Amino acid sequence: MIRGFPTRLLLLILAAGFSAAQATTRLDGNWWASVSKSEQTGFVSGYIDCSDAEVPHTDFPQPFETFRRNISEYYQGNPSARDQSVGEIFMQVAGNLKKPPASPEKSETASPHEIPEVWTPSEFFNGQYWAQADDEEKLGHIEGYLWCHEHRAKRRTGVFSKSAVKYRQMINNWYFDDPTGDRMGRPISKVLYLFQDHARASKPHNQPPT
Amino acid sequence: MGNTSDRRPAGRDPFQPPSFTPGPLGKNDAGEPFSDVTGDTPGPAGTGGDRAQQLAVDPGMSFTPDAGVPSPPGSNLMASGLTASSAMQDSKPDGSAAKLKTLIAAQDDVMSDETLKPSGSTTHCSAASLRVAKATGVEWDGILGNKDGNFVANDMIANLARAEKDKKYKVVNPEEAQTLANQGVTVFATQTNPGGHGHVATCRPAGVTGDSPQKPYAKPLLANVGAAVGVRGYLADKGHYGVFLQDSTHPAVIFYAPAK
Repeated sequence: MIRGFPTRLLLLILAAGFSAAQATTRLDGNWWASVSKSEQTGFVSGYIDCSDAEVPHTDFPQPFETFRRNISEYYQGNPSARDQSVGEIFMQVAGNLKKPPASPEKSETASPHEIPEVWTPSEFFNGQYWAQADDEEKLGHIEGYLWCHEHRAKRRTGVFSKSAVKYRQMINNWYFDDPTGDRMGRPISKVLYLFQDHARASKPHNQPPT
Repeated sequence: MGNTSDRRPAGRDPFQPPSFTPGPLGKNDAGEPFSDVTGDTPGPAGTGGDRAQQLAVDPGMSFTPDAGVPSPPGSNLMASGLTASSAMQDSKPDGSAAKLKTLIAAQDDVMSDETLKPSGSTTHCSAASLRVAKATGVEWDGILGNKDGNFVANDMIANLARAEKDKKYKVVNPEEAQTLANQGVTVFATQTNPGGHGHVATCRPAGVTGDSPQKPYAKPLLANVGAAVGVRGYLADKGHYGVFLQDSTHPAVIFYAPAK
């Protein structure tokens, strides 16, 4: 009986862990390979949105597409890395992409100087971006944001236990059921925090990112 | 579809052998999970959607580009039932088939150019619009840019309004915008944003094979290069997937087409 109890306890813990692992999608190389390009792009944008909002001193100046393609190529070139999370690979890839290319090849109709529209992060990741993204990109955005929030945020303040699909729906409703007409300028990160778990939300330190 | 596709199960297992028709978009899915290239059977049945028809349309066209090699500008057009078949049927003395081909190729070019993709701090709608204008030969100098480069979107939109007064451009409604785009005419969809960033995009011909705008959408379609890149409906609201927010708090979306 004495010898049997720890064994049963161990089995119970293992079973619980296995069950939890099944319930949570692992955002690793196998997941990356299984989702659409839009969702992958969304993961990158969501990760960057979270970094801008919650991780001080980070900067990812390259296009989302550059990160997306480099993550895919990394997994392609390193099949043994498929169990590594996409967020970890993102950081590796970002470390190798510190500077944008000096003179990227442009098409014949490109102007000598192509002047971008330049945004601050809070201007960019708001309802306008949300509206233009398709459903898969929105889903990826939530997944990327929450992965970064869970693993990278210096002072993790919110708990988000619902599914990414659920958060997508809640954010969609919030932006588009707009009684005042001024919601579209609100950052996605702040909207997401409106839907953090209620129990933790009541704690004093639990404030949305500024 | 002429039995040209291998109908092995598509699934979502990256270790499954690839099928020729792996997923709904034929892109980046189970059969070729890391590929960005378009697979077989990308379009609606009977309109350039299968290999046999594709080869009939353009025997010299490789149907499935090599992985990692960007599609040549206009490849959607080549594979397009709209451009290849209906453009031929729709051949008119004014060369609208050629205009259509040029417009789609120019839009494909800007939507696939990595330098025009968004980062978290930059978008490139104005640069993309100028490129399409140049490629399609509509008037742009002093309106969309000058020899030094493109103007930003708000300035472009102000200049288009002036160009409308000068009879260089005309304002059209959404239905006319789609009709003109289907004929290969370059139409700009615009929304100014005083104190912020305006947005501009070109209207996309409907029915181009490979385009899969999320439904429901409101026409005209746009070749959008902005915070997100791809073919979208023009209107974003609770009932539509699209680009422009249009309500009491946002300026109207105005469509400009060349006056001549």
